[in-house]
Formats: sequence, structure tokens, C-alpha cells
Amino acid sequence: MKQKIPEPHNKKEIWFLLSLALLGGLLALFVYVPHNTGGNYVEVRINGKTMQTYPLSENRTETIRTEDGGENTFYIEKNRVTMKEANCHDKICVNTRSISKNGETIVCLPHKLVLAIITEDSAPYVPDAVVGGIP
Amino acid sequence: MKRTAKIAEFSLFTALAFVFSYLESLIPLPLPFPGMKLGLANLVILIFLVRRGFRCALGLSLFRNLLVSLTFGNLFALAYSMAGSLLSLTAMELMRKYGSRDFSLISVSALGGILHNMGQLFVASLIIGPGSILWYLPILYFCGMITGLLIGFLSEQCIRRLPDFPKQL
Repeated sequence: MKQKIPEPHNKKEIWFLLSLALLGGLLALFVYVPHNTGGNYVEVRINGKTMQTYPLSENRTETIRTEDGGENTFYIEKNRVTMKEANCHDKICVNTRSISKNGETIVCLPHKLVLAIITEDSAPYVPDAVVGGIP
Repeated sequence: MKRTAKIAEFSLFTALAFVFSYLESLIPLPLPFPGMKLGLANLVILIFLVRRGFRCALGLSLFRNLLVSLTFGNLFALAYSMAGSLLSLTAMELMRKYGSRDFSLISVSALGGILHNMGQLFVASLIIGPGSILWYLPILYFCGMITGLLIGFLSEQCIRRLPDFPKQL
């Protein structure tokens, strides 16, 4: 089955590749430009749900344990969050560089765990008793 | 006889794709974003797509994903890679079918690389929520495009230089 393969680098092809790159550039613009400021809290999400929030201003080390036996240790230092240790199999989260900007995340997919930087003007939301109550 | 030869060829190519996946895991790439790979096995799959058609390439990629995730990963990894492979192979086949006069394998593969990563991200967003993966979207888009371009270039060279490979059964 011999078939004709078009010569690369024709005009149409270059336009196609350029528009692909342009689309990626627009994507990057939309995602990164509104988030180019430092956040002030780090949110711990497991399975997409927010479990804990820690201020970036305090240095600390925390270990998160997930239901399926996952253990991730991260620390906050100089307003940056770094994943220090994890018992997942790929260690992608540990190799991710530290994060500090609003919207940045460290993801540990095997444990479905996400550390995300957020910006909040006031104190972080703490699930608490219903204010006011029901008579 | 013909059937046996086909089975043997398919198995050989599955093994080749598997070995490429393994080789790749031995070479750590100095990339600032971890978890990114060149996708050398896609070279085998792309050549198979050109020479043997969509169904054979899909089967090959299915078996490779199964083997790789059972050997090096887990069943979750299988879900990601399947979504990526399915999306990218379908798109590449459509592009080859309707645009093969205008576009070389380089463009086809660039689109495939992008969609491969987008498919994986989509499955990830189902698990951990879309907000958590947004940051990776543009990075993975460009990584998919660049690796796709490279793999496309390599496939193009292979196919040009080896016009009878693999031999017609």
C-alpha cells in the first residue's frame, strides 16, 4: 500500500500549525494572566473537596492522610508551598516545583489530592455551626 | 497463513510499542514540569496508523496502554491513557481522511499530541475537579504540540526512508 505523503512545510500546513500555537497562546493568556499575583492561602483538596486551608504567612509542615492510605507531606516556607514527601507510586507531586501564585496547584493524582493556592480577602471559610439557628 | 502472519505482526508491534514505553521511562527528561514524556511509543502507533489503518492502530494502542499500566502504573493510569489515546487517534484519523492532501504527518501528529494530553486532563478533571487542573492546561497543550511535532517528524522520516516497512502481508 504505497500512498502519497504530502510534502511538509506547505503553506496550508504552516498556517495550521501557527493557528494551533496561537490557540495555545490564548489559552495561556486566559489561564495565567488573571492569576499572576501571589495568593495568601493554600487549600488542600481531596477528591475535589476542600478539606483544609492554611495561611501562607505561617511556616509549617503538614502531613495529609487520605482514606486509601495515601500520605503526603508538604511544608510552607516564605509564602511558598512545597511537597516534601509522598508514598504515591509516581512521585510527580514531589517533583513539582513549589507554588506561590494564585491558581497554582500541586497535584497528586494517585491520591486524588490537590494543593491549590487561593486568594482570600478575609479569613478563610471555616465550616461552622449555623449562625442564628432555627427556633 | 495470512491470518497467522497478521497476528504475529500485531504482536511484534505491540511488543515494540511496549519496549519504547519502557525505554522512555529510563530516560529522565530535564523538564521543569514533571510527568511529561516524549511519547516514543506513539511513533510505532503512528506508523501503524499510516500503514495498517485506524482499527489496527487503535487495537495496538489499546494493548500497549493495558500492558504499560499493568506493568508500571495502575488501573487509574489506564483510564487516563485510554482517554488520551482514543481522542488523539480518532482526531488523527479524521484529519488524515479529510485533509491528507494538505497536511503531512507532522501536522496530524501535532494535533494528536495536543488532544492526547487534553483527553488525559479531561479524565483528571472528572476525578479532582476542573478548577484544580486549569493551571496545567496551557502547559500540557504546548507540551503535547511540541512532542507531537517531534514524533510526527520522526514518523515522516521513517515512512519516507522505509517505504516497504512493515511489509505488506
